Amino acid sequence: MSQSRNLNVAPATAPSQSGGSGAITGELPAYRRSERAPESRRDRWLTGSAALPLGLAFLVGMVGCTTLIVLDASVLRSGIVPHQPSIAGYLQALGSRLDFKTFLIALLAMTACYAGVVVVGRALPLRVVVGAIVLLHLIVLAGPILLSQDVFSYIAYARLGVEHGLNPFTHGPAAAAHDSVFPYVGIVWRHTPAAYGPLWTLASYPVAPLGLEASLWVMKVVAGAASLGTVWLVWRSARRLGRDPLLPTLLLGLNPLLIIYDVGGVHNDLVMGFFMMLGVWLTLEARDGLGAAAVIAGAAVKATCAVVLPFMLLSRRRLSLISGTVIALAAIAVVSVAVFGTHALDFVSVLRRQQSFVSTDSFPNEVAHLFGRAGVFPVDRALLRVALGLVAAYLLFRVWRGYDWISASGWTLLAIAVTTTWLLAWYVIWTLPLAVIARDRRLLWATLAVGALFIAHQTSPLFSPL
Amino acid sequence: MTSVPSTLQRLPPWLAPRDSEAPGPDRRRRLIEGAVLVAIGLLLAAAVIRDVVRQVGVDDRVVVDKRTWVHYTHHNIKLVSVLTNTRNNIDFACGPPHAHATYRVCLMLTGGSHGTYRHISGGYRLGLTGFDVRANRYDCFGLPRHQHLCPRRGVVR
Repeated sequence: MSQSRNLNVAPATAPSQSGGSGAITGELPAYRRSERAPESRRDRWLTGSAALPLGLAFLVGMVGCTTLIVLDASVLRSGIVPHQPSIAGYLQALGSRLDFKTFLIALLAMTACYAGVVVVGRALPLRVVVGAIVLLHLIVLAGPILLSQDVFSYIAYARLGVEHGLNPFTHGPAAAAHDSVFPYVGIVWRHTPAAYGPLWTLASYPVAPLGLEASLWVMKVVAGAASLGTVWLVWRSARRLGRDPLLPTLLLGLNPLLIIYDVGGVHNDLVMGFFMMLGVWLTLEARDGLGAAAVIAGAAVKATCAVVLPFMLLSRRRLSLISGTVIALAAIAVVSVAVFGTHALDFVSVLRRQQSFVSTDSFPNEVAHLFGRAGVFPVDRALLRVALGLVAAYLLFRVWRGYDWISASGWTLLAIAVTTTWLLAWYVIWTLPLAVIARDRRLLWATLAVGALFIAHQTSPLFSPL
Repeated sequence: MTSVPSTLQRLPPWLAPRDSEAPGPDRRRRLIEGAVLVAIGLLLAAAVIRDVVRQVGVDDRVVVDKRTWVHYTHHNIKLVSVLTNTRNNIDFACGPPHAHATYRVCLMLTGGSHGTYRHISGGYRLGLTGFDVRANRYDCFGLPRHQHLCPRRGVVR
């Protein structure tokens, strides 16, 4: 059991860190299983003979819940499954229409199993954990699009540019209302130009000529590969930091919000997360210039990724980081202007407008209800921005004074998720890849707590007669 | 090694950049940060629980609203739309009163939702299509009439 894990733990030495994770100061041994402190009674229980069958049972539970959701969703005609072409019609005979209660019970059961796996995870063989992560991804990827219509917007913007010769940063999908993808685009976004970075919009262009169904499958594969790639980068980063990589990998790769909402919804946040973690890993490998370039690439997919960069720069204080940033920015700017003209930056104003929306799941909205108010007003939004700015400034100062820049980046992303009035499930996941490898363990607890609160907020239909 | 330009090293000690945090845990700072995090966590948890309870209450109310509308119109349809209010318990339930109706009957429902039916404080008629806004309402009665929710009085269209 543990032998298979030992084989995957770095036997060689690797640069590790003293103090903040921004300071690679010498050759220190990477994580070795044998160097762990003597196991306590609690540790012995968590890795004892009962832990393995328990962990396997939890994994089977997660696979079962995911399979149930995907099979039932493949029947379509459900509020949880957006209007879409029947790309997973081959599964329809195996499922029945997915209603809210079935979905919520499966999601809660999956979350409980996830918590169980995390508790006894250290007893699980590496191959089983990796196999479970890959299997969950494959199950979700084999099914229909879940819970979101965003992927149709991605394809619509690509088709605007390629098939209709329109600039997706100046036109919404409604500009090509006769296009085959248009009926599937969310009503709110039909007149909205692209809110994504120019790199993502450009990278999605090759899928446009493939037709709608083939485009969806390509997008699914990209999302799945990005998610698994992020998990792999978390593994590598944890090893680089001299930690047992199994728990971080498991915490990220099996997370129900990641599997069902992020991968199931085929969100480009997964691609952003991949570039973000690529930047983190490259920086930990002391390849600062490339690390900064990867973060810029992530920001050119989705602007949120840029949050990591100031913390990286302040902590590392290296010229190569600045040069990597400048070169990457220049390269993306040149390509973007060549393809989209000066409108490539218009997505910033779209994002600003989007931030004025209010989603029912956003924490500010819930807090407003708690205090008897109808919802969030512009003055509240201004106060939230000030609070977010203060948090970011405090964290920047802390990083300047030696605090772990990975933790600080994670706290800032978490603060954005908590203070935004437009919170979606996949925003809650932004922090997780950083939280699982961060030096400050409070970040991991806070991230998991926010995820749990988000799931808890979905449960009202369980208690209602509707 | 992290390179720190020499000019930065001349900053006062409390402001100078550091490669790692000062040795020894800063217990006071951690305590303050921890207290802030716990306070925020409790606030968010309370808000989530309150919102779930509120939503469940609204959902329960909607069921009674629909039952009241069906009882009043003697027309048992499922597509009764209910407009709920988050700040008080005044709801508006609307639907066509019979299969061939060219208008919708909207009822203003007030009072508790613990009984079989809610109290009907009034209502108005509304075209089959179009938003429930003042300009589209007519034949107000009860509270809506006193509150001038209709722009005019007219015959049934």
